[in-house]
Amino acid sequence: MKTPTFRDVELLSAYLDGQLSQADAVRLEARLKADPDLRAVKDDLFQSRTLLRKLPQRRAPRNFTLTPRMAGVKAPLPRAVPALRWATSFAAFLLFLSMAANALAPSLSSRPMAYGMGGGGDASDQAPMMMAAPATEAPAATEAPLMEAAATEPPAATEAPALAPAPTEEYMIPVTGGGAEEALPTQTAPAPDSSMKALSTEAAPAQPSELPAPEPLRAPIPLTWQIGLLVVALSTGGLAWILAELANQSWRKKLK
Amino acid sequence: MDEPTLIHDAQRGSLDAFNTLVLHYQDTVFNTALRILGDEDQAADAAQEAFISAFRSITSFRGGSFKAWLMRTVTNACYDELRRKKRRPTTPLEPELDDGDEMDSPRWLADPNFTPEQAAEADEVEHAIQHCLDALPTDFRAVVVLADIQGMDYTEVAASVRVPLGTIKSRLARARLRLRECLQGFAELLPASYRLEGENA
Repeated sequence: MKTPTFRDVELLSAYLDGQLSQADAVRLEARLKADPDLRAVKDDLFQSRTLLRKLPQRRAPRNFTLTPRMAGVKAPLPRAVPALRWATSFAAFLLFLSMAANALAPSLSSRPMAYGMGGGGDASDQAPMMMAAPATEAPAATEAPLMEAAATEPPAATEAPALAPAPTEEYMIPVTGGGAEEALPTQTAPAPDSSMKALSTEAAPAQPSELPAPEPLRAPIPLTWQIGLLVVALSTGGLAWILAELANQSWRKKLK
Repeated sequence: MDEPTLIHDAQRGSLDAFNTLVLHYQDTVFNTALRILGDEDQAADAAQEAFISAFRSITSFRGGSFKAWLMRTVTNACYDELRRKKRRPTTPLEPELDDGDEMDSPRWLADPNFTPEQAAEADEVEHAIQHCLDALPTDFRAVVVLADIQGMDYTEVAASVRVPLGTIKSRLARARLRLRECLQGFAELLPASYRLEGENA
């Protein structure tokens, strides 16, 4: 006979709950018969367990049923609302893309022109010329077709707007200076001196009516498309909002 | 009550179905919280929190014992409440007598240091047991409340507190041992019927 260990207490506790295997239960019962200390511990455990089981069950002081607000239940939305919201998002996304495309288009389309100049320089070399373009638009408009014909270069048409800045000063160079051809090979070489003179001084203002006007740079996404997308985004978004509000209002009335 | 159908409907968002389950289990949930927390107001708050949490996560119930699943929610709510209480300990305001002394509450009477006269006044076994339960570590208390007060089997208790079956056996044995030691201090309060039942085992 020895003092019951915690292992014994564990066995007794499981025995009281019927959680011991048949063999373990038989072995423990044999020990219980022979060991009064073990029996006393078992009785104490049983008493504690019985006391707990006999504790009176209190009634809940109130009902714990949930209201829709407590449960965080939202108003059931009409089935069209998610579809409309999706359409709004999609139209807004497309509108954003179209605006981005239009905004980036000029800078993207100017790059091939810069290489077509034949200067072989990098973009930073071309930048000053491109920046000067708007100042002398009118002469460029008339010069471009001639240049194109003379040089027989396919990219000439697209180069026209960017070439605009150079005309009056640069085309004068071949007439007056000898070494200028090397500086501007593609622009000066194909054109005869006389025609260059005329273009640079007198012919340009005189012939505009005969030469076709240069095509302005077109935005890749037409404005009408953008307006359409805007209308779709606003109308579907507005409709979704109205439907959701109506559903919420009827839901609130129902809760009251 | 067709519990599986109600659970299924509640999982599909039916608040009415869930509230039927609430009405069925609210006493059990409240009593569990009461025995773990030892305070009615806190137990009511924890029970309400447990039901709210249960509704929001009912889709995670994948079958098995719904009671065990619900008990897990309520024990978690109780643990949260106990943590909150630990962070912000408060002294309950007890009603004062005319002479300015605070009235003794049953909880205070259950103090092991009280005199035999005071002990004689603590005639409610329930308060003595609650005092002993409060003295247990939280993990032990939850296990003994679920197994002995709610009468859940070991498997359900293990599912409720998310510990292995062996741990449940061990915790339950330790909890009962400590309760036995604690309740020995209240021997004179215990009805004879309990003692006799113990002898009959």
